[in-house]
Parts: sequence; C-alpha cells; structure tokens
Amino acid sequence: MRPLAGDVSPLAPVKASDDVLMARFCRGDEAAFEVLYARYAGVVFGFLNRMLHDQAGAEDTLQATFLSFVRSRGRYEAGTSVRGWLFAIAANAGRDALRRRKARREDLADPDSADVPADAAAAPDPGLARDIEVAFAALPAAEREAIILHKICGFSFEEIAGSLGITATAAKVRAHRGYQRLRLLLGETPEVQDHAKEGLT
Amino acid sequence: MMPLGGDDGALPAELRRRVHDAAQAELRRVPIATPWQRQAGRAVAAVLAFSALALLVCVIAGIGPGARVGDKAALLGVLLAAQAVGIWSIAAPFSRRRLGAAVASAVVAGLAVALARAGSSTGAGSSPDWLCSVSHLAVDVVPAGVALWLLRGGAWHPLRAVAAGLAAGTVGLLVGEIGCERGVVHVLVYHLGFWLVAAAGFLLATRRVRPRSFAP
Repeated sequence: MRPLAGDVSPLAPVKASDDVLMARFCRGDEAAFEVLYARYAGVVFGFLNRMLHDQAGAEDTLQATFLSFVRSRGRYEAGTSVRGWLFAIAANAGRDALRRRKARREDLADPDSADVPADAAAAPDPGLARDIEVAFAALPAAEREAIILHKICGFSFEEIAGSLGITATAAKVRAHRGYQRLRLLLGETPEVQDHAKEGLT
Repeated sequence: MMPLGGDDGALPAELRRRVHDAAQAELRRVPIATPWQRQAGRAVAAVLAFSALALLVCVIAGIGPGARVGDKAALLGVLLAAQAVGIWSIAAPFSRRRLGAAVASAVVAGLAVALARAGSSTGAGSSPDWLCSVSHLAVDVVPAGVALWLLRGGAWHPLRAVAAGLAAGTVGLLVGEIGCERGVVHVLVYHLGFWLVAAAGFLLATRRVRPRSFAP
C-alpha cells in the first residue's frame, strides 16, 4: 500500500474518516481506496447476497458496484455519506441484476427455484430457515432493500432515504410493508414470528 | 448463499481479490476523477453548439431566414434554456428536484412552441407533413447520442431517461420553429407530438442499455 501524501504513517488512513478517504480517493489515491474497500466490501457483498438471493449474481454485482464506485467518483458530492452513496450504487446494481434476471424469465419467488443456503440447511430448524429465506426472496425488491439496509446493515431511515433517493417516510413505509408481507408469507404463529426476527437480525 | 443473519464480512478471499484488482486497474486507468460539473458543462456546451450550428445551417441554406431567427429570439431562448437545463440535470447526480425542473422546463418550452403558433391556420406546404418529423429525428441524433452517453454514466431511472429524451428533442423543435411555417395543428402533431413520441421511444430504448456505472 502506498503511503498517503502528508501522512506520517502508512497506517494513518485506516483511522481516517470516510469523507477524508473519499476526498483522497477522488484525487487518485490508491491507499484511500484500499481502506474504503476493506471497510465496505464485505458488508456490500452481504447486502447484495441477501438482495439477489444468488451467490453468483452477488459476486458479479459486487464487481459492478466497485467498478462504478471507481468510475463515478467524480459524481460524489462532498458532504454526502460515503457509505450511503456506496450502498446506493450497490442497490442500483442489484436492481439492474434483478431486472435482467426477470427478463430471462427466472422466477425468484418460486420456492422450487429459490436457492436454499447451505447454512440455512444446517440451522437448528432447517425447514423454518428455508421458509424465511424463501419468504424474504419473495418480497418486492424495494421492500427487501429497505429491510436489509435497516435491519441488517444498521442504516437509519434517513440514511436509507439518501441511498435510495426517496424520502425517509417512504423508506419507513417500504420497510413496514415488507415486514407485513413477511408476516403474511410466514404465517402468524408467534413461534414463526420469533424465529423470523432472529433470522433477520 | 449467506443466511439472513450471517456475517457480513464473509467475503470469499478469491472474490475479494478479484473485485479489488478490477477496481484498482480501473483506478490506475483514470487516476484523477473529473468532477461532474465539468462533465455537465462540456455536455451542455456541446449540445448548445450543435443547436447553434443547426440554426446557422438553416439560415445559410435559406430554410430559415435570419430575420425569422431574430423575430423568434425569445422562443428560441426558451428552447435553448430547456435544452441546457435538461442536459445539465442528466449529467448531475440523481436529484428528483433537478430532474423535475428539467422536465418542467421542457414542458414550458413545448407549451411556448404551441402558443407561438396558436391562432394560425394550417397552411399547406409544398412538402409532406411527415417530412418535419423526419427532419426532427435527423437533427436529434447528435444530442440524443450525447444524452445517451450521459445516461450511461449513472444508474438508469425513468425520470432521467424522460428528461434526457425531452432535452435531446428540443433541438428538433428549435429547427422546426425556424424551418417550418405551418399552422398550429401541424405543429401539435408533427412537431410536438413527434417530440413526445421520440422521448417515449428514448425512454424505452435506454431501459435495456447497460450503464457504465450504477452511481446515482
């Protein structure tokens, strides 16, 4: 890793804020990019994996996300949340992947065609874990995005609004509708609801 | 597939390296980012210059006498402004307000074109009516190319695509305003009507185009 100009230690950027790193990255600083990549690649992959419900698709979309992150850094406006901007790119790339997959007539909501995670099968109740995965995959993309960003990535509704280009109220409505739909898909028994909450958090 | 409650950091090492290398190669290819304002400024200048060139060609070819250009200066100004606002808004990071303003300015420009001909009867021209639409399409090719290039620089969104299609089509309206003297019905159908159809076509055509970037 190349040391940053002006930094005493090459490890200094690890502690730098996203805003500082982004400013350096926009000036072509590879070290700043390295830190941002190390900070967010994993969590973006997790988001895409859940959004697409498809490992191979998530891998391709992760690459598209970071290529876009590099290519479009001139579109980043100082003062905006870097994390929010990166997740906006990931959400757009994910939606595009879903649209293309839908165009290929693959039915994501079909339980028979949905991928069943190996980890889910190894869970204490593999049947229930599978039900949760399938129900989650059956949610409309917009609702799924809002739930993933809020519940799993820990975004506030204001941050989700910034990432998705909607209002905070609209983000809340999407998440609320998603939870309602999940409840319908999973049934109303308290046991199932408890497991679903655990599965999502 | 990761379980819903799984570890976000569980990114396979091989994938982590592959994506990193691809992104780093892209960064080395273009180390310094061009601010979007500079890119937008260049695009607006290019489209306005093309419009000016199209007007000049009309005047030189005798399609639109210079005097007519002078008479319609205010209307042409409205069309050029709508063009500039539209191109700027699609080059800029996604903003509903900015894109809404672009669509609104295009609508105002369209209404201005219609009102400028209000009251005039449909005059018979020597050429068929549809020739105006074909000319419209021909002069729209260059601004549509610029608009498409800008659109591919960010994630596709219907509002961006509509703003882009309308902005590109104002060049055709501009030339039509100078080169055609027919009445309001002809303008509503073969100029403004075609303008809206072309914008809708642009919206549908660009939906399938893969963007260079998914940035907002």
